[in-house]
Amino acid sequence: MKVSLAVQRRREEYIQQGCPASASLASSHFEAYFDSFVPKGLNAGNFGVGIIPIMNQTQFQVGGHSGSIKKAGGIVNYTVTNTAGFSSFIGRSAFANTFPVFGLQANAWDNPFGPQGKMHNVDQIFQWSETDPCQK
Amino acid sequence: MPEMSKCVFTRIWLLAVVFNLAGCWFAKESDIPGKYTVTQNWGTGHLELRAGGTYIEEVSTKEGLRKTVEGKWKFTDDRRRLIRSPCLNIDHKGVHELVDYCDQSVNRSIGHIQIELEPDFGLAYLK
Repeated sequence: MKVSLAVQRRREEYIQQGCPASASLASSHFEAYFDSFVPKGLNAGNFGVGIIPIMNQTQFQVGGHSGSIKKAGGIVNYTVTNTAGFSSFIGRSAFANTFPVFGLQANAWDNPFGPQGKMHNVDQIFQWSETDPCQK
Repeated sequence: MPEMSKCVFTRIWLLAVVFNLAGCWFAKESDIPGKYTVTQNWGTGHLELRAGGTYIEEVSTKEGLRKTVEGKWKFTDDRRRLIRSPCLNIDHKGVHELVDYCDQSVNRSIGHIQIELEPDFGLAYLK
């Protein structure tokens, strides 16, 4: 995740903002999938998803995610949090907002066989740190 | 999982991904100003992005907590992202701390603009 394009974009913005104490580190499913398919440096504009192969398989698995950037004691900590659930996997959590007119509940298909059953939600956390990039 | 089921499952999933992407694309800067709303189990949030680059966000929870934040926003063409500073950290569990800025994806869908807050839970400001 550290090298995913979505994260790299947000790190660049963090530096542009002057490396403040806290920021969000979220990315949409659309951005993640688009990045996963399109080779770095190729700006395909508003439309079109590139052709397989998938460029970053971890980013592709994670898809959209939440997260934070926090600075303390000259160290910047990056955290990406992701819930790998069935609704997200099958596209329902994105579909609910893409077509809100249907009034779908985004997570209605999570834990289809119970919280401990097959295809239950798995919370993923990716963390790494670096020296304050604004002080390098 | 038997090989046949795996294959069918993969195809259904790929179709779902393609279907979602087909109905969604990156937003333009001119799409951004306006009034957005998010509704969750914990309460509601209202976000007004003004054309001049300022915004106001008002969040109220069912427990009666109200928070109002005013700040600035900018739009970046690099994957169409909205930067708001400062910004309330919101997820499906509720409203958390104020952070220096939020860096959020903005997508268009049919008839809507959505500012993504927590994609895995379908949480987004919608206009």
